[in-house]
Amino acid sequence: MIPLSTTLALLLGCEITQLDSASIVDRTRILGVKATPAEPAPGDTVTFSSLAVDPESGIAGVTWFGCVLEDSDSFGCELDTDTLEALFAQDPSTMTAQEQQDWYAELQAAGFLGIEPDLAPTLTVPSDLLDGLSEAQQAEGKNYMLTLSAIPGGLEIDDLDLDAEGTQAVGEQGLKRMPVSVGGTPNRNPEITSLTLDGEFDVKDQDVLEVRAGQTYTFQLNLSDDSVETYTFVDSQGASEDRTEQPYVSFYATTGSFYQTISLHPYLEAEWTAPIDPPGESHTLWFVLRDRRGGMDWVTVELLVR
Amino acid sequence: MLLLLLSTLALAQDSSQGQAPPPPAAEEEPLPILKMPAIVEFVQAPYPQEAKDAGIEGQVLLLIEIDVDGTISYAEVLDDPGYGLGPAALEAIQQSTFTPAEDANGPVPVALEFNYGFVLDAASVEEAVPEEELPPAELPVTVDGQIFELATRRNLGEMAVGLVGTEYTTLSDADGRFELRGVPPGTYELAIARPGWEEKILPITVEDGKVSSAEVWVRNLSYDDDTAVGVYRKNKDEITTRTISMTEARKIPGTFGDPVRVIQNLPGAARAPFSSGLLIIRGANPEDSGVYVDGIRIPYIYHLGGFVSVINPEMVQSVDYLPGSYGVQYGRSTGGAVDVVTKKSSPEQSRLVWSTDALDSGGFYEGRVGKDGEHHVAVAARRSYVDYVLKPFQKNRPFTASPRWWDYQLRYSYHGFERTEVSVFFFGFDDTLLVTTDESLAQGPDQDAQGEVSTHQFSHRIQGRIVHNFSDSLALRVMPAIGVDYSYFGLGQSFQLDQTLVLTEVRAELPWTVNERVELVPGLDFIGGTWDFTTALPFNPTSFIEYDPLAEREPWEISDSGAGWGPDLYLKANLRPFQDPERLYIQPGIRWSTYTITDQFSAQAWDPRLAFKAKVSPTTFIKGATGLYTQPPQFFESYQPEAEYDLEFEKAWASSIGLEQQLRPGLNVEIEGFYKELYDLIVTNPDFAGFEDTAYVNDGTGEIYGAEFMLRQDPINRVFGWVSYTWSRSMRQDYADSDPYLYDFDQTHIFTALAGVKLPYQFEVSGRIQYVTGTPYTPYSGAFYDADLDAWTPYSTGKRNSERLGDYTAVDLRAERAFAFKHFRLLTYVDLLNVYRGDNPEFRLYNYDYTDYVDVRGLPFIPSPGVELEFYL
Repeated sequence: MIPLSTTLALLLGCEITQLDSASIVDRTRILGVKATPAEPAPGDTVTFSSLAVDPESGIAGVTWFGCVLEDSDSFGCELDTDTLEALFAQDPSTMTAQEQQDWYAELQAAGFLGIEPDLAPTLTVPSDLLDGLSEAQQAEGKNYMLTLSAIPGGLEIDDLDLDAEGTQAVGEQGLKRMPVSVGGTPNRNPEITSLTLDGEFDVKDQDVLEVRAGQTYTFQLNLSDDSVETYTFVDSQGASEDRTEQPYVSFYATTGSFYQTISLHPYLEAEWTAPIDPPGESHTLWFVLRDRRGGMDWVTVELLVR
Repeated sequence: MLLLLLSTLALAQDSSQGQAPPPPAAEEEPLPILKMPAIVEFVQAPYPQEAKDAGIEGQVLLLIEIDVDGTISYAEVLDDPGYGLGPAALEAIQQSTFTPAEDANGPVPVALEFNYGFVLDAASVEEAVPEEELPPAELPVTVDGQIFELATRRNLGEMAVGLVGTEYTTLSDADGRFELRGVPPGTYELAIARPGWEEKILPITVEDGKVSSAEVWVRNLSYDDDTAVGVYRKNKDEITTRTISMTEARKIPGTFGDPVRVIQNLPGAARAPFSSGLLIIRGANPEDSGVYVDGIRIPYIYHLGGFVSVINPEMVQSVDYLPGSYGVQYGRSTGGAVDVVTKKSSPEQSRLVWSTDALDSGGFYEGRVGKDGEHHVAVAARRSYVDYVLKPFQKNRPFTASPRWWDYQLRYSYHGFERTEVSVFFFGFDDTLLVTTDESLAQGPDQDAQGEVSTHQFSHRIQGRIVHNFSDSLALRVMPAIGVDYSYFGLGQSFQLDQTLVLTEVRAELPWTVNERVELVPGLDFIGGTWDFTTALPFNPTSFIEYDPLAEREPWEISDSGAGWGPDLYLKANLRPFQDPERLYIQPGIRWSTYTITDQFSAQAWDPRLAFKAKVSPTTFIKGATGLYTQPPQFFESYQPEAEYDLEFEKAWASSIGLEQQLRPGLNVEIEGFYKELYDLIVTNPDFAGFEDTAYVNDGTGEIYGAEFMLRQDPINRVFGWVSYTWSRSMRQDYADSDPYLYDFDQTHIFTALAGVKLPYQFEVSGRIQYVTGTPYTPYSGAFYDADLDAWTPYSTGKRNSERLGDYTAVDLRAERAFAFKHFRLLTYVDLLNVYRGDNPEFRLYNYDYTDYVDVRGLPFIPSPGVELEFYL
């Protein structure tokens, strides 16, 4: 039981020092991870992308690994690090084209998917992944577990611990699940079509947005018509029903403050107050949309505080 | 001649260790003192020549114990002005006699303070205390008057009345009237005094041929004591019981005047986080300690937040705190026990009390009705207004919290039977907490966690109590109770948990005094009733076992009902094998514990217990106890609708040994060591994979050991207080192959020092210092970012509870002043919590990715003023 006194203490402040807010990005962070398509079928080829940022040193790269989760509650992938290290020790520049393809196939078989931005992470889902499962189980599908490590600028891949189950070393490690199924209504990533500032103009594709120091702005995310999907859910008794997604958006910035850091559909608004000083600095806002089924999209806005 | 000046600063029923005889069979709890002692024969001390020569006057403060026959059984000089006054007063008072104090059962021994005054006059300088004859009755009345008590407006009889420096003295009659005859004209000082009342001296002029009259109003020094709740008593049947006097309890800082909260200042009681009132007794889980009202178990002892107990303090006669090694009459707990004993009678004069403080406000009435006042009634009600107080603080905040509680009590007792007592106690409480937010504000990313958070819990009980004395050696006590307990938790529209219990409880005892050395007490402690609950979740907990945040949630709801019962039987014996009943007291007992929940749980056990207390010197006692304590599982632990139940009682074998030493009357020291072995503790089943498996197993073990020390000054000589220290270690081990770990609330050192003092002009101040070792916690080593949830999952590479938060230090103060007017009393006070506080971390709050943290401090400085109005009708 959380006692009333605790509630009172929290309500009254009680000298609780403000900890870092997740919405303020001041170090290496992974803000979003996207698979396209969001819910592939066996045999599909999936491309991955991430929103990894570091306002200080930038991002040198993002390494991707993946494996099939046999149990949905298992955590991370147990990679064959010996095999991976042996493969990474080889120099592909000395290989023939065929050798390079084989080498890359071996890496993928060992769980390596790619390194952003130089080697786009991809995965071709094995065609037989769902073989042996019942029709209902195939509709439910299996999950891939994707683990990725964001490498801050100035670091090399050798600085990272390749074991996704190891301790957090440098940068940031994240994970994401990707369902693979043959369901009738596979998930698709939502799409942010525009980002309206104070209800007036779209700033989604604007290079740099100038804002006034200390002023509060309201950003409104607008989605494509099919972003909020209707899909079929089959319960444990076999009964099916139509459901509608309930997406939400998370707000991030390198500075300033948000009134709230998360907003639920249909209230996809962010109230952000620009910092008072120092003026003339450049900052960034990120808006990451999640549909709760694994689908994501995001928008980045560069700012200049005047 | 000298004039006696008497006053009592405090009254205490004989607090010498266990010197009272064994209680009559029907007496289960201490009774209020209904009549104070009065002087029958006062022996005047010869004025010491040394003082006379030096012209010294003064008062000697004595501590005296008045036995049941009115004789002085003990006397001690507490404050001696010197010049031989102390020894003279001591010798004289030992030859004086009084009427004894009385409670409902007749005379009782008491200890009180007594001011013996020495005043010089011409006669005493000439000759020490000449035996002069009183003025002849035929002389004319020259001074008369009547004495009343402030606030109660009672006529005060047996008050010593006299003119200072003369031989003109008398006692007031039952109507408070007095007369002095043959006083020569002149100006005098009229003195009024009696133990228990403030000494009053006022000028009076006697004129020739006239009668000088005076109406005198005097203040009772102990209104609360006189109305029965204030005496310090010991429960004679328990080896380790710490009974709190209401006089002390209501003056301890940080308790908001609530006597139940005082137990958190006693040895064995760990500090509860945020002053929440969790009962953590001798390293036991809060749910492992039982709380009772007159022996009937209730689900909660504190209102929401733990600031005040659910019983109005005015209804409380005493609070029995049993940290361990208690008798077989208490069961179904492996921890401690707290029994709130309510008053069973009302004073002759009706009282109406209204009290208001920073948290709540409420009223209380007690009185007697009927031709002979045989119907005793008391009623109380109270409501918090924290919700209104909080409103200004919650403006412009993203959420608003509205905590609210109320409670009520109604007691009726009939005192018209010669050998039978009948009473009914009806009480209940209702607590709610509602936290709301604007619809447009997200409460985290979970769509099912949106909406208001609310909790609601209530309990209502009607308890009967029948005590019939078949003879002086055989009595029957029956206490039936029925009631309902309800609890609810809701989060948005998706999470709903509610549970209703309809309970019947019966406690019955048949104490039989076989002879003066043997008493047998067979008893029944029955609890039974029906339960029903509904749980609604936004997900199916079966699928949740294999957690997948992307899995589609399937709303899940379960409702069920059933019945349970536990007709425990016990037998205990109170054995006093020697002529001196205190020389050795042995209490063997055995309890048959059984509990059944239909289709869910059934277990039984024999709980043998043995305790002893022996007098090794007139002021030294040793004591010890050992025994088995068993406890049924929590309801949620035993509910296994699809699995075969195989749970057993949780068990604790508890032992203790200790020493009690009276350093002087009113000053006692107590040391006790304890060891408790825990086994068959209920822990989660590591192999649980679905409802076909049992969710819990009896694989847990543990051990608790420690030592307690208490130095206590009873409320006499204007001062009360105690120093309490507990050293303990509480360990748990969930499975045979897992590592043992510190219990979550393990606190190695718990030190409390508190003291209160009465000051002139009815001021009283008290203070408390607490030092407690910080509670354990498990450190995190890092965290993974879960992109699907936009959240970090922490992991720990350290052992559970391997580190501790910082220590806790705090100083609280309380000041009060009482006013007595002709028609009412007014008590004003202010509780100052955390006048000084250390860092006092209560828990560790991490940032979003567990790379940083702050320790959330305990409550800040809180001033809590209050007033209490008391009317005597």
